[in-house]
Amino acid sequence: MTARNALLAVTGVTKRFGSDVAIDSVRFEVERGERFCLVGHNGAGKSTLLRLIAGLSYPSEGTISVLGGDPAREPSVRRRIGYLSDQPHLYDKLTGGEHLRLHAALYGLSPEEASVRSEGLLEDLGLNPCPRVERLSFGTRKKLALVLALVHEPDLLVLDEPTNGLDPASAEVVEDLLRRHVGAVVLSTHSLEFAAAFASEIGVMRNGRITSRGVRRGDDG
Amino acid sequence: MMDAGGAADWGRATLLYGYLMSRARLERRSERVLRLLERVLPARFGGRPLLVVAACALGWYVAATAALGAALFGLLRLASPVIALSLLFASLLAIAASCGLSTAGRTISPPDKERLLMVPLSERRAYCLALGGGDPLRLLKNLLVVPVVSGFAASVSLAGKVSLPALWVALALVASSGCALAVVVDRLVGAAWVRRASRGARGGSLAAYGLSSALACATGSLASHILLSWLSKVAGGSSHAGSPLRQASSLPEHALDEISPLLRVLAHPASPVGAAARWAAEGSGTGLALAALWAGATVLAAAFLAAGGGRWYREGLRDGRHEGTGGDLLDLAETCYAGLGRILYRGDRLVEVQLRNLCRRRETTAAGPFHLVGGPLLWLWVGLAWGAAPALGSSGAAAGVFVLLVGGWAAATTVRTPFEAFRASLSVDAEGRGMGLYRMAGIGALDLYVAKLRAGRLIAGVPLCGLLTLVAVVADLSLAECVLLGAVGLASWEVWPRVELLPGLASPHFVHEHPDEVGTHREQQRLSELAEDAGGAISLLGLVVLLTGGLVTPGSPAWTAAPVLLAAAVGLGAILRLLDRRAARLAEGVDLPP
Repeated sequence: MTARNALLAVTGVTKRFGSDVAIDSVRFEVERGERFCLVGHNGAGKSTLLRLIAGLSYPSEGTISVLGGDPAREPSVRRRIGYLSDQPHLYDKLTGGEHLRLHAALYGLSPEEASVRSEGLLEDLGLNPCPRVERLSFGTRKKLALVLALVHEPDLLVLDEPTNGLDPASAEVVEDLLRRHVGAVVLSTHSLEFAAAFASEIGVMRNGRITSRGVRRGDDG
Repeated sequence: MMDAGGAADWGRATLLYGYLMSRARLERRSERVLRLLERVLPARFGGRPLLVVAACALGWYVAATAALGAALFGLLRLASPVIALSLLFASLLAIAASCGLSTAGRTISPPDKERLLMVPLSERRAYCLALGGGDPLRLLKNLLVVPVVSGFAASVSLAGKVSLPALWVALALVASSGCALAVVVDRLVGAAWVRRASRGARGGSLAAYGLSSALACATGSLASHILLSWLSKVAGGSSHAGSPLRQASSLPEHALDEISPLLRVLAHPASPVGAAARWAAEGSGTGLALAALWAGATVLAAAFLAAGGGRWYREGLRDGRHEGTGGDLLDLAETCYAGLGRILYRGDRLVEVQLRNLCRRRETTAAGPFHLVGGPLLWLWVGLAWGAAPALGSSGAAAGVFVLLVGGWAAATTVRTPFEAFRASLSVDAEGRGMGLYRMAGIGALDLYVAKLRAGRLIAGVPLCGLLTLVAVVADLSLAECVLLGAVGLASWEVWPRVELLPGLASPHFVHEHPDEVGTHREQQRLSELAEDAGGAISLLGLVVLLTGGLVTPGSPAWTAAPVLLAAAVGLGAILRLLDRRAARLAEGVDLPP
């Protein structure tokens, strides 16, 4: 049974690749306003789990529910999710502005709406939308991808190592931006310091399982 | 499955996606030309360089299509309007089908799959975006410009013989069928690819290979038969009147005569092209109804298949795959080639790594697994040799020329095909950012080039040996002719792999959004064409040397071949040395990807 208010409910999810088990019977829930951080060593299954939550692949067993719907099968559910992968795909020959236009069109936003929403985000992150992506550094690309994940104002943010490759000042800005997000955030990180400061709940992953969980007391969110 | 967003939003998104993707593709393919134009054109021209390139590309498309139209113009005069129009319509459908083949590479695994899957679109719409976003200009040319230009060519050459409005209605029906056929082919090829990539190449793939090879062999044999019967007709004097040019112009007519049974099948009143041709040429109402029915059926099939498009995007090809369960021909190919690599290039682990990487890269091997042992093109050559065998036995000179011309060409295409099919693995710049890892391990661009060259030659060597053996057997060549054929094959095996890999060293592009883009940059294609021309000229020179050396003249003893072959070997050695030195110099200039 899932909690009545859960924005995200992961119920007994298993993911197999051939005979390899990448995710093994994972179960947890995240409510609106919560920030759930996944930590664990390389290959623990964090990215695979986040991809499943974002609806990028189907679980072999179990269910994932976002606002009561299946993100892998219902496009309208994916509209409520913002996803940032660890190696975000951007088109090298397009500018940041063109990415935003295309993203807005694919999400059914009007160009004006997208422009108003992205302006503040671009300013916060110190991004110039004019240069082509091929001329941007890894960190700047990551920030642009984060803007794309946020611009349609999703309820659930699914972020794979969002501060990886960012300088400390940018990482701080990103953290601040994520704190202001009114929905729920599920992210993975290798920085225990970041997780301790940011998360309302931390899950430790090992060999495809969440082996321990901890809720932060006195959280400001 | 519901899509978010209305039809208007979807239309707007599709148009914007198509525009941005075609612009990005044009820019990627013309990087250096654009940089040059930006320097040459005044600053006030702003974004004009891209327009200039687009105009040039469009001009080229129109010129190429006009050439096709001119060829059709001649053809339409030879046969009855029904036959001629049937041939024209069948050609348009064949071009459309080839479009489907070319888009399959992208729709199977779009480079921006993650982005397309994340946005609120169904898999079907993601598939449609991938289908249209690959190379919209090419689709536009093949599915719209070519039918329109061909229509004008047909209107001019058949003026007075057919009703022009009926002709254009028939063309519209055929063009619609063509668009739908492109989708059908794309989906069928995609489905076969997905099956091979996820479950391995098994009996079904082998059966498809057998069927396509048999068809290619029969086509080759028929082509040989047509050419030889025309040659004997010309030599026999039945059409000796007139200039050599006039005699040569009798070939298309002769070919049409020879394939008349096939043409009758093609132009059958119930066939899709025959029905449309009958409506256009004879105003047959039944023809119109049948043509419309065929077009409707193709469109329905396309719509049905497109509805299932992209279903595999979220499933993951490896999810259900149990590696090493046996029966997968691609696993078998990997074991064989890695074993051969270990034996032939003892101690060179880098070659084995290249071979294993190539075989395990299912995205490329699943698209054409049988290029690992020789694709249908090889069987076309075998068919040609088979068809030519009766004529070769009677004349030593004919056999010599056949071995040099057809054998040389066949060997070249057989060697080059695996390099083209597996360019995403064999090209040096296909390594992308992995080059940095090699560099850190002390492996330079030249080491990598040599390893890829060896791996590619090994993979090309197997079908080449098969081709040479089969041609020698079916054409019943003498020992001297077999030696000559072997020499031609060896020369191809040495030269063409180097020619295929040099553009990747001379102008490396390490950033690719999709494996299909490796080697497609404008300057790489120019270099490739240049090398191809040079290779052709050298082959022609070799032919002249061998002919003048008396090797293939009737009655000449086999030992006369020795000095000629020796001279050819020395010349070949010099060319290879030149190519290797050039590769070493180019490798020094290869920089790490950004």
